[in-house]
Amino acid sequence: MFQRFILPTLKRLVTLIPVALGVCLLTFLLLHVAPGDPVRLALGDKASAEAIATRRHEWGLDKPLWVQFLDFVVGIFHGDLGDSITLNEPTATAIAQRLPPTLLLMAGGTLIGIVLALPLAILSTKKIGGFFDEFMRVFVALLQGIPSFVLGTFVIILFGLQLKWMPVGGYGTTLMDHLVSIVLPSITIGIGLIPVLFRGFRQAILDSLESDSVAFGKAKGLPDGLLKRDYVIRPAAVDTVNLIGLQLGSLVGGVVIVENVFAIPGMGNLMMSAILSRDFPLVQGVVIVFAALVTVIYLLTDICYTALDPRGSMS
Amino acid sequence: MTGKQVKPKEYDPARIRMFSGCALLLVTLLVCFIVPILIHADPYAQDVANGLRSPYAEHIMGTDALGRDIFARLLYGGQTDLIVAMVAVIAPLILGTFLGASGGYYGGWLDTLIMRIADVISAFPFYVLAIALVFVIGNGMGSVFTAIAIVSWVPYCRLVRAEASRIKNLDFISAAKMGNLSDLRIIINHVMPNVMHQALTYAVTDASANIGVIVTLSYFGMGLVPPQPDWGQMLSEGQQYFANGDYYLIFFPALAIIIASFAFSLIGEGLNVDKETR
Amino acid sequence: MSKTFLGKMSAAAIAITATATILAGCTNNSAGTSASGSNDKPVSGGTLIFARGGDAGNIVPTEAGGNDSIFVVEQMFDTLLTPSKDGTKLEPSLATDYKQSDDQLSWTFNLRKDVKFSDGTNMTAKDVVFSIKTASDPDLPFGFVNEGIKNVEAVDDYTVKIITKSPWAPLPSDVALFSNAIVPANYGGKSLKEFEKNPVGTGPFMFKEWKKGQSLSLVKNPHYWKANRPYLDGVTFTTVGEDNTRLMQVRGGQAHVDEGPSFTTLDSVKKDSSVNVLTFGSSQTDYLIMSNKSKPFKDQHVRAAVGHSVDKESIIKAVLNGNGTPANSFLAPTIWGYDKNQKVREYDLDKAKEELKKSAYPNGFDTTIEVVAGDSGQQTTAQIVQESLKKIGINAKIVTKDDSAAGNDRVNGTYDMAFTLSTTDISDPDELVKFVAVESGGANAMRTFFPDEKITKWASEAAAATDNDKRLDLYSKIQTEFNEQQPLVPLYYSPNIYITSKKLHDFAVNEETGAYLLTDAWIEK
Repeated sequence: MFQRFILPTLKRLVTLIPVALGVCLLTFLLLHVAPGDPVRLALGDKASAEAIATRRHEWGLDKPLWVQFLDFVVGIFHGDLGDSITLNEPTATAIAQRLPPTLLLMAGGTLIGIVLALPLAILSTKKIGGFFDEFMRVFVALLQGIPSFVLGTFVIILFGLQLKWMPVGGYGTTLMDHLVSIVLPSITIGIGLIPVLFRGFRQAILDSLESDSVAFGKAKGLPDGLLKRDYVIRPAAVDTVNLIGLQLGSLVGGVVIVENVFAIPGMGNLMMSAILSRDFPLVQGVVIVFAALVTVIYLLTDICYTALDPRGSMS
Repeated sequence: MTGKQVKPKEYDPARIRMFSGCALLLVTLLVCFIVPILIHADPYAQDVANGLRSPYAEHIMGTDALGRDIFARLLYGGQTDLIVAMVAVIAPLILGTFLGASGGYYGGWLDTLIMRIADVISAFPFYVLAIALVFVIGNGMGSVFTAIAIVSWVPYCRLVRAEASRIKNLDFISAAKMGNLSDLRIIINHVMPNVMHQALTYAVTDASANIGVIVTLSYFGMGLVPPQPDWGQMLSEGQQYFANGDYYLIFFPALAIIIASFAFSLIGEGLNVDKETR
Repeated sequence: MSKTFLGKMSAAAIAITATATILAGCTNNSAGTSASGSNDKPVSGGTLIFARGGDAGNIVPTEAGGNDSIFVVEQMFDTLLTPSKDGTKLEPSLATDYKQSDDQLSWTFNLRKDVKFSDGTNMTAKDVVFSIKTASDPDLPFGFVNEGIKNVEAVDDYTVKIITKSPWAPLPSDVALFSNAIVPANYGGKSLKEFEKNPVGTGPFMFKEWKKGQSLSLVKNPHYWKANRPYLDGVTFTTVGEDNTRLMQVRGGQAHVDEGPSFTTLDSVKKDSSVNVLTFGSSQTDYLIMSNKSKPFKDQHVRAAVGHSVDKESIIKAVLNGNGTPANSFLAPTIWGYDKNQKVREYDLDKAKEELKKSAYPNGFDTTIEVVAGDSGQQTTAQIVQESLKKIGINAKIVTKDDSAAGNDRVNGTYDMAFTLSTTDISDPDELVKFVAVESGGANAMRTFFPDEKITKWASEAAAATDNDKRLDLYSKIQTEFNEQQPLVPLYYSPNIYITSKKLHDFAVNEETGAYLLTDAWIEK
């Protein structure tokens, strides 16, 4: 157990530290190099120079850059992400409020993606190179080229405007509202995931079909259905877990766009508004959480992969 | 082994995909570059009094809020977007190849540094980094190129690095080294050929993705600068008028975006097959 | 009012929403149309859901900056005087009456004796003294407003004397500004930070809960001094950044008020019988500004040429969908002192060419127009201006920057041409005139950095004059001179538009300051 899971996990975590620092540094530099001033934005055009200077001091923006960066990094190690300067509350509080919609959206999107892509992949591998398989490959190429905001617009027109099934934006106030509001954006994300998931599933099934164990099962004279279940679908599922994990990482990026298209008050939205208002602590906090999310997903994927697949251990 | 081996056929679906992709791209390019000359289209001529008119004889795709011809803007927008998409592939390719080759070939701290930077770039949500970069550099074509270069060199780097570090310990390389062959020559002669195909596939896929990046940035007001026509901007301008039922404002640019990216994806799909069937 | 980048980001959910159905379970919103005889008598009760594009920043009077904050402050706090609904005069509020001393150096205010804070304590002169003294700190965002005040004294429990440094005509308007709203002396024994978390005032509503970036809830103040008001049990301001989501929420009955709908959707909304489109006058004036730090624009003939090249009618059609009027002064018609007889340069490219010939750049020059990313109004206006300028030989490139970066450029004057706008919070023109037309007036003449000694002199004379006719005359001269020099082109006056549920009655906003007037508003059952 220790050898197989814990030690590699710890090792992985250690190598992540420089990456995490790099992410912080890059965010920090980008924000501070970009022209713009959070104080001026907060106080408006009419504020006097004195008022600006006072506020800048209050927010610690008059300190040298490296001190600000150091403060930030030290804060993280104390579990303190600092205070948002525009929201006037701890960054952690703001993030805690915005994280659930984003997680919900990612989960919903992935689920819909799998539900759509898996059957297509299974059908497609029934006859490799057959009509359906060829059709799917072209179709997937078509899907791949559609930017998510265009896809979102079509989803809105179709389900929201023409069929009138769903609300077309916002997040509502009750749990029921939330779940209903999340449907269309999840569909958008799900459809966007089809090309990668389909290709991945298809390849995984192909690989399993060609594997020795299938030949072995055939030799044993197993019926076709059983053979498929035990020797094709299951091993393919292992590869698939890996694939989905990797996809979730990039999914985090796609969510930023989709949240904005559908006006979902999630992390992506929070991040955009924080960047625009030059709310340095908030942007840093969100980026760290995003990066952590990606990392945790990769790590969990690895653990699942190792647990499911008797062959390997975590690298 | 499964008895489903592909028989040699008269035609190869992968090739067909690739050729139809190329043909589609060529047609799109021709339409965008030739038609405007033939019809003397002016994408800039304003006529506010005639603004927001749905398609009619004089303006077959209608006019936008400033009374400009949408068809003309669509064609000129295609020129910009397609050229940017293809040209923007070059910088990340060179950057990624250079970094990957140096890292993989020399190893050591240089390799570690490069790969950590690659990790940092990958840890960012793609669009967030691109948008942030455009903020820093400012709007316009130049910053779109730069943002794309900084964000998308990583896959090339990983690819080339793997190949470079694989071959550097091979016997014949050591022999070549002894024979005073320069590192650069070794990389060009022995690393590049092996990764060319895969890199090309990436590049085509990137071109498709780049269309997405350009129009998404423009859509958010961060990409190309008006009045230069661009599909993303046309979409975002058009969306304001949805409520009035003016779908035509977004229909045509959306269609154009999809066709162009489809062409690139098809080519990529076609290229990709060689690898799959091994 | 301009659409933010984020607003644009969400623009896909766009007008799409306009005809879409709403969240399940909230669709029963037709009551408003059926009950046509519903203008009966106001009824009490109900919580108003007020959907806005942005959230408040700080809701303590002295700390509030943008309108999103100010308009909330005004629900919880009162000032001594308050601007009338049409902005033409001042009305009593916490003060019943006031009077200037014969030497013109002090003002005496008599306070109402029946006013309680929302925590039940009485409001007296010492609270007023504390509030106005606190608000006079020049470090505060609106501290400059009180620069004419020398001291504030309590004469007795219900009489306050404000002493000015010199004769100061705008004083009554100054004390009517939100930053001079009355808070408990010493914040009721709390620190400012504690007070910010649970502010206490004398206004119709009091603080209940604030989820930053999402919703801010106020409830009825049980101790409010106006009898039987407010009708509403409470107000909840929700932050919904996307224009069309707000609109959809009002249509679906999830909200009663949509603030700042997009002009481009109004045509279809007006046809919708389930909502009201309310149009109020406003002091908003949009400008094309030219930086005096950019060389060509130092030349009066160049500025004049630009003035003749701006096609305001086209801009109003393309940007406001026709809902606006061309501006002929930097002051809006709702502002006292606005001179309706002002002449501005008309759109005439021949005259523009003539002016350019007389300038140091007879053959034109290259320059830039800076617009805020995602602000479709600015982008459209820029393209119209660019096209006209091209015809007279000025080659203007459009540069897009995000809100913050563009703001920086304006503050430093490091742009060539850009767009901005003004609104006012005070009924006296003094603040706005100094802000827009006086280089040393705090905003570098609307960031044009254009120095004009005559205007500077007239503006201070007007502030000190007590005779209204004399003041009007001075403000008129300022407008003429400013239009002649034209460091900025006033583009258009646009109304304040709110889309409201049919169930909401007697909702209004102040035509000058834009403040929400919710005391008389009521929701039909």
